[in-house]
Amino acid sequence: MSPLLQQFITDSHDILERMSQALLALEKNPGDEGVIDELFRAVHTLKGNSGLFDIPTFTRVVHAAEDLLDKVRDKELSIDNDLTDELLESMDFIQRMVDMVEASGAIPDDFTDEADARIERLRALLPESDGHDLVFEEPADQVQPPDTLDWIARIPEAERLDACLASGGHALSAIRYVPEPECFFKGEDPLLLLRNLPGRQAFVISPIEPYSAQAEIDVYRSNFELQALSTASPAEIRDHFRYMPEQVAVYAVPPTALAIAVGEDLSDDGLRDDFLANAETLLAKGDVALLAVAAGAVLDLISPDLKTASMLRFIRQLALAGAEVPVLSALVKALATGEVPSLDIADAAAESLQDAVPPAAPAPRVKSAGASGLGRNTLAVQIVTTQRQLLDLPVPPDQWDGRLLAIGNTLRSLLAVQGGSEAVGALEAVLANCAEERSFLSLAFHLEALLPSGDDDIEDPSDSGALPASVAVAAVPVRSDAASADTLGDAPKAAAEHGDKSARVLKVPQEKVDRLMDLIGEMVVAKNALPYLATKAEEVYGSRDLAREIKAQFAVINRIAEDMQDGIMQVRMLPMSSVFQRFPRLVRDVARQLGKRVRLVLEGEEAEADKHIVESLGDPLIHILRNSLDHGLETPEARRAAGKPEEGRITVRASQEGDRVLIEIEDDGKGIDPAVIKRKAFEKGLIDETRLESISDQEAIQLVFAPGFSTAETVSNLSGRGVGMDVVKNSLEKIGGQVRLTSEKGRGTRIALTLPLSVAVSNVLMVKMNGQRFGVPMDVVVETVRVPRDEIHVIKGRRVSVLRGKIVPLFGADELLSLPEAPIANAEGEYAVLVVRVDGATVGMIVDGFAQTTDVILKPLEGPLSGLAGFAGSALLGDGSVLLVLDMKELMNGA
Amino acid sequence: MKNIFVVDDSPLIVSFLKTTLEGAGFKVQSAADGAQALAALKVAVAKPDLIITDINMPNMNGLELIKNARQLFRFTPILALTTENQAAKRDEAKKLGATGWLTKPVTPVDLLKVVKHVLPN
Repeated sequence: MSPLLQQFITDSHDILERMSQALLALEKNPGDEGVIDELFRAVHTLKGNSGLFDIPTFTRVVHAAEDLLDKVRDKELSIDNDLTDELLESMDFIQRMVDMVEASGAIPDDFTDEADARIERLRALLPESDGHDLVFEEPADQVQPPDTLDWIARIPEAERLDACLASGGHALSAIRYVPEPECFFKGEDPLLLLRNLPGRQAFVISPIEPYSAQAEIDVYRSNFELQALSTASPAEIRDHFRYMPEQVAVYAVPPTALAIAVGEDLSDDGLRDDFLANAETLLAKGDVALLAVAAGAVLDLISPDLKTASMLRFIRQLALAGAEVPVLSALVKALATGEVPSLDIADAAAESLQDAVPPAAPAPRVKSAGASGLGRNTLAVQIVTTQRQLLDLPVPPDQWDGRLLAIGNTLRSLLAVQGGSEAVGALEAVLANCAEERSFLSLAFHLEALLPSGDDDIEDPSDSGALPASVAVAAVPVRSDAASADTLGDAPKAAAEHGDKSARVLKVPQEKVDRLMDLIGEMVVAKNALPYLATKAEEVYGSRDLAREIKAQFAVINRIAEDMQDGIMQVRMLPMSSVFQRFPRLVRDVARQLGKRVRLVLEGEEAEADKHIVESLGDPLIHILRNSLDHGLETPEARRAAGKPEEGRITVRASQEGDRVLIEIEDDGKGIDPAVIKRKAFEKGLIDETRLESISDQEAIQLVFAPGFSTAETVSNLSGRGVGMDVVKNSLEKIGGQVRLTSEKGRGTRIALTLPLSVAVSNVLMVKMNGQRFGVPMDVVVETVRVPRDEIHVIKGRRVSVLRGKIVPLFGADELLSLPEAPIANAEGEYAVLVVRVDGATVGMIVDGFAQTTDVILKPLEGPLSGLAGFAGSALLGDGSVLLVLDMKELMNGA
Repeated sequence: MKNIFVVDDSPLIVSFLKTTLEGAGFKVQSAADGAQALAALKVAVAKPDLIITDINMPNMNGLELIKNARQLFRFTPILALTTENQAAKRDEAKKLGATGWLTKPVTPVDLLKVVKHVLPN
């Protein structure tokens, strides 16, 4: 299972738990907005989480619950019993789905029907829908449509030709993007957006208002609009600008709209007419390729500066791009009339409305080199070309100096990298000349000279390699640095003011804590080598001082190690509230089903115990509570008749007593009738007639723990599930706990559980046998005695002895553990007998002798040893040796 | 390496974002609610290159956080994590200075696409 899914499951359990608590809290106090918020947030998070996985059934149910809670939060709906029931049931269903996901990684199909039913029931609780919520209002297009697409004409012809080629004769997208003046303060980056525009061909940037003098410019306000051409579909463009739909307009334009011829308007009718006649025939035949050749032939003959030539270049380019015949016809017609091919803006806009339908065929975007970079040429050439174009743009007189300065700076940076000091020197001279003449002319000539001549030989791969990309961005204002500089100043101050006081909780996987505990256990052992070393230093090397220092150091390390061990135990401690929190819901549900009224009082929830103990407590406690509700508490009528308040009371109380936790479950119900128990036990054959006569009332009550005992008259679906109190008792004993039950007929029942605080540390008594030591958990040890050889009798082949007036069977440790040698008696002829209590029976184990008791960290046997019966586990002793700890129950059962 | 700061009260979403973004070579810091995030952002040594925040959170919700973070970092892109029925929240987030939003559930592919879309360079 992926870690993410694992976490989803853990988180879901948490969230569901939180939700059920919140719901119950709300039932008591329906107006608590804090709790409603918490509840909503929980379900919202759950939905968000589930979206990460492919479990639509789950998500749908959670979604329905969220909708319902949303209405509750908006006060359109109030929490009542029905709503709570429905939500609780849905949560149970969700819980089941989580369990399914945990077990199988998916939700089986048979959950779908129930999910649908649940969703329907949840939806039914929603207030009458006015249909309002379902209508999504399309945001009105706030951008005024541009009056014209005139800006296309401002794109240099070369770029328009490239765009034509890239379009493949299909419609292009014309984009008008007007960034908000405050856009930089939203982290928007208009130029980045433009640079990453899919299928971008050419673009124009124009100021919205004329730029003011340099000193007055507010560099933090955007004052420009961007227009661009792209081969991408309007839908793709919309997606690209999805965060600012109101700032962007997209139009589909035919490629002919780009064919705006520029140049001298001298007629060269002869050649043009020849071409026109020829073109008509070719177009009639549909021979587009030949049309391109024909246009090329004319272009070779006429001056490239003619307007006619300009239009011919578009015809050739579109023909090469594989444009359709009607597109080319329109251009040929425009050439004949000398007019710009008409482009009705209304048509273009109308077309943009259908932009959900992409152009007939995807445009061959990759074909043009222009799609990958800023132009067709290397970066250096591009920069110079751009600067050259800038020189041609009109410039207001007050901005002339600034323009020259900007262009000069850009070229300087470029040439410094690219051309060396000589080129820079030449540039400086030209710049000075320009400034003197107040004319860009000489600079324009200088740049023309720098640029490679002709169209085809400019691609020089060595250029692109030599030019660092950073030069291109040198002119970008460094505004983000300025911004961070002034926030930096405040930061340390803010840090000092903002001490975080909120409690932090870490969720750590248990393995990590366990590993830490293992390591600390090892360290505890390792540190014990130091006293040995001290002795050696003194005795072998004769250095008393060194020995003393080692001992002093040992004391320090010893203390730290003990603190660490204590600390890690603390980490594993959980408050009882983590199991108690399930009870209010349980008690509420069960009481409602049974038609009983009950108040649950929880006390001492903050008492802590080891995680393992706390978690193992959950099921036994639930079982006990169910029993109390089902069999203990009476119906309101019966209670009234008995003179008790109608509402019953169950108290669950936890407290710490030394190294044990005490948990009491008390009810004020009808108590247990010893007579009924006796009769039942007799009927079921649990006790015989003589016992029936002699058994005391208190003893009789304990019979409910006997296997197979159930006092319920009829088996209800609550507590009578075939498991009785014996199971409760067993599972508690497994974790070292004990159960005591007291009851008074008509007054109530009290069950007291005592448990160790931690299972991690076990107190064991070490016994010696065949020169080895074995540990026996102190929980089971009753006493240690010395039995003289002649007091051991053999009855029916078994050894027994009479201890404190009782016959106690004795087993040799050699028999139980298959050791080679029998136990040895001491000089007085007495055997060491360890008396233990297993399953209520007292038995003795004969060993060689006893050693001290000790606290150990018990680890289960692993690997090849894991199959060994009779051992509870192993533990490392302080001197580094391994102690095997016996499981007396298993050993005795095998005996 | 670009720093991305993610804020969500669901540890699961955080670890999803973390895994995906770190897998794509980003450095990711996280916080569990708005207040925690703001406190961390205020003392951050390195300015984050992008902030991604959930909207519905305890202590300080995402909208508050966006507003405050915008005061702190004027040009840093901020993305709001919203669900499909939070259109109104989205607009509000935009108004308070968010650059854009992500709609939950988001796939790793979409997440990276949008992140690259708004990150400078």
